Amino acid sequence: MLIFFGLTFFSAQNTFKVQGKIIDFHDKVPLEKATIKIGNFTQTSDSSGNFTFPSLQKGTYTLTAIHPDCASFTKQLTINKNLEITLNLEHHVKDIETVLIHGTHKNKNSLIIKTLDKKELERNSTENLGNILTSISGVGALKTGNNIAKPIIHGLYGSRVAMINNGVKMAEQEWGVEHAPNVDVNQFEHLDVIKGASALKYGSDAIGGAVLMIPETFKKADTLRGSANLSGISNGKGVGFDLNLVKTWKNNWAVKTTGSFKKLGDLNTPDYLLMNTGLNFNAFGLSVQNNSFLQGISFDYSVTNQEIGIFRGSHIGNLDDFYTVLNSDVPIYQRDFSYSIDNPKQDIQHHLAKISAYKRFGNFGKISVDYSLQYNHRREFDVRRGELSTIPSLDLELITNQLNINNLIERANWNWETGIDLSYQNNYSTPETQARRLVPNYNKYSGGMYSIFKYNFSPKFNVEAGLRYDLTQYKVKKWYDESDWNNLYATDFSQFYVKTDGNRVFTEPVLNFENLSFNAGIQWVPSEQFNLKLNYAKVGRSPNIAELFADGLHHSASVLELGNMGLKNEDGNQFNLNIDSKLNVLDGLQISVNPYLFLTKNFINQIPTGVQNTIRGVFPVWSYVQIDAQMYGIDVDAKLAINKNFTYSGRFSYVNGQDTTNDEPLILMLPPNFANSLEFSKSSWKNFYFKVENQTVLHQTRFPIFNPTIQIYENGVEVDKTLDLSTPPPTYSLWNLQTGFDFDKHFSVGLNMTNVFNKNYKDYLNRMRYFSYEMGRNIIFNVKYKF
Amino acid sequence: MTSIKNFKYIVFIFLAVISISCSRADEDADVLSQEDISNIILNVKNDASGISQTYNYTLNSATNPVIKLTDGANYTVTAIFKNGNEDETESIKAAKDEHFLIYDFQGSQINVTREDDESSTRSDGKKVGLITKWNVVKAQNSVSPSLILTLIHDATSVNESLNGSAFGSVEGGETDAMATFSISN
Repeated sequence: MLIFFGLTFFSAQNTFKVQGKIIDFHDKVPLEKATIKIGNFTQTSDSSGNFTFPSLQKGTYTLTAIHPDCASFTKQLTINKNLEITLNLEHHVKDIETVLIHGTHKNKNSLIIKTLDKKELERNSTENLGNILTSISGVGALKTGNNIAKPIIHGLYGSRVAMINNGVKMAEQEWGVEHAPNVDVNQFEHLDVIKGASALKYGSDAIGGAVLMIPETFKKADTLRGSANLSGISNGKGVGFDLNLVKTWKNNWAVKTTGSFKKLGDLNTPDYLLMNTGLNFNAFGLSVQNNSFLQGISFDYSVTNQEIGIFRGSHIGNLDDFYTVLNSDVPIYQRDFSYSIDNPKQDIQHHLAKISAYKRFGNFGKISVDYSLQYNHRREFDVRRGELSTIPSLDLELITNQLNINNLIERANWNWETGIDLSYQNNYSTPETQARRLVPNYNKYSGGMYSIFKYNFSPKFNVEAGLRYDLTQYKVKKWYDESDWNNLYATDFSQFYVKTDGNRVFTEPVLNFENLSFNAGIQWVPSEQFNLKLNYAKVGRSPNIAELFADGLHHSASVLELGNMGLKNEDGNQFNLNIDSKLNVLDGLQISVNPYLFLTKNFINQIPTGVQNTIRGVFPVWSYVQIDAQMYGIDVDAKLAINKNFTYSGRFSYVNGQDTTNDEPLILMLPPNFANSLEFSKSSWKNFYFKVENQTVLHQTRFPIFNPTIQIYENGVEVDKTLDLSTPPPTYSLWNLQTGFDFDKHFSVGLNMTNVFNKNYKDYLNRMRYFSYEMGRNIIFNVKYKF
Repeated sequence: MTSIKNFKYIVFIFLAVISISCSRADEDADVLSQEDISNIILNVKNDASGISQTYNYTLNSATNPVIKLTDGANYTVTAIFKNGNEDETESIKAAKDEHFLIYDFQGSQINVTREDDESSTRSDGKKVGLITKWNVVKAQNSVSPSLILTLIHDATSVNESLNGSAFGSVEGGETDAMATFSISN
């Protein structure tokens, strides 16, 4: 592809000399061994990209430039004087298409990225995002039942992990532990997990890491293709269906639509059904684009719609009820299998629309502009009295506008990326809920600027440094109980006071947060067998709306959550080291080791700070406080090709989190865990594969003890009982199977079996662990048709 | 190609409609939990004298009300639930199948029978317990006798009979309200 064609005039003669230089368009690297033809004369460019035609007759010629890695270029050339020409060929087109289409990353930077490729996604097409990502070392899922799963990276989750959906940072009330990402995994080609805080481009909040959901890049061809995938799910007697249609044109136009549907009824543990754990999920996506290497424009729209049942047995009134539940082995709430989803339940709709455009300029690099609009409508229904049961007790509408302007300049030895983020967010909680607002109404304005510079000293050694500045303003409308306002804020925040109405105080806080983050990293590749990355990040995260203002009762946890308007920014220092090595063991052994250390001042943590008497009884109050935290851990991945057909994969992760202020472990840290799998695959047997996996999660021995005490009457005597809500469940080990093959060119089938031995176990990171065991055996059968 | 362009417009219009249709008039309005209960009131009528006495348990008050009872006497007791000035008793009656009261006497010897009329009798035949008859054998049977009155919501099954020291028991359900009254002679 030729982009730019320069001519310089020299003195006039009868035969003329044409000399020139052929360079790469976007990074200005000279192209060696390019073949340049003018008429019947041929020259080859040297290592500096130079070529010379010493003597050409006056006339009009066809100039052709061919380089093995580039699309060829042809142009008419009139020679009537000596010429000096510069040919700009883009020689990365193939690279870029290969990288994007096959998802294998060149990854020439110091970020630590792990990828779940298309194959993994296709094999697990009925899983939700949170559950799928747990197959990456160091990534866990914070769950509420099985259908709500939030990714945890290196022990951090929620606002600390950015979910980047096709370049857009998702805004979906991500502060909530029971608020799962609203995405349809089937819309993406692969998933990248960036571990650690170094991806400053995605905001300074993402101190745990970022999940990048990357859609397919289309080939430039006139085709219509697609796939339909139908799955049957044994546990929950469910069905999943997704459809995918892509029409592409040679002239770079492409249109893609995806649709998904999934329905599940009550799930079952090995011994009993879990009442009201069904799911209705549907999603739609549309993408229209015209992208070439030089420029592109695209429009993307996606919507997900979910109705998620919450296990009925988890909705409890007070700690006495909790005590009763903890002491019954089998849930009190039981029913025959049903698809019906009653209260408590969540009903969430998420729309995302995005327009983006980019253009590459020879000297100014690639400039991209992305604008996105998101609308998130979350309704949570509790078990309520009479007619109120049809009204959600939480009803939040979140509208987020984001604009990103990014400039990327690429040169032979360096590249420099600079950008601006602007966003405006409005949260509205309707009073029609007739229940207290968990988070208040607010407007959030934020702006950020970042600049990331990468320099390659040699192919073996490159360095990277980034800087980011963020400014955030919350404008909040918040009602407090008069006693709370007077006790907590009246002195320090009197400027926000508006009025008192009965025993309630109306306030309009305006809070500003400012953040400077930076990172530095190196990558050292001394040989093909060894790749070392080390990065350091200094990150600041501003408190989220719940940490500042939450005010409400969590039924499934029997706690009152209380925000704290006085919170400051978190201030962290993070070190990440990653060593990849390839060894000549059998058909190749790859080992990846990623130790990390994260020291944070003012880490925002939720701990019990007292009790509050309500009409339902006494509840522990969990407040957000700031502590100093220290986290370290290690992720290990290994892959051994035993021979052409057998592959072994293993992974291990350990994280240690400590509250150094109070000298006790941090709560909800991913327990040490490892997984080993052996896969047999043979492409000559119609791409047959068979994979056995064992997954072991050890007992988490490090946990803080927050056990409330209740008084109950036993045989007429009042006795104290301690509720053990802290001790993590014991070690468990599960076996999973996966197999499948291609029936023919169009049809393929797959079978997944999880928890093969139907084991009863509990997961420390599942908030339903107090109330029930995890899901029993699940068999998923799927048929896929591709055309 | 035109169809693609048209589709873009349709989506834009659709998004515009979404953005506009969000009404924000009541952004400043306060909202309190309607189902919450702030007061549990017992109206205790001595059947012999016909004299009524009202005992009001208020959430977060420092002391519990003290119910005065005479040994050997019979009382008709009516329970009233309030949220501020609103009478929640009516909404309990309206959703009577979802509710049940447990009277747990600690250190008193009192027999309770449920006397609910049609309006607070559940469809499973069990009486919610808004109206009860108390037969006081010995009000002060230990040092500090008390009544723990619990309103249970949405139990899977309920039972009126005596269970330990409590009149009434439930399977499942959650505690909607709980009040403690002291008892004396």
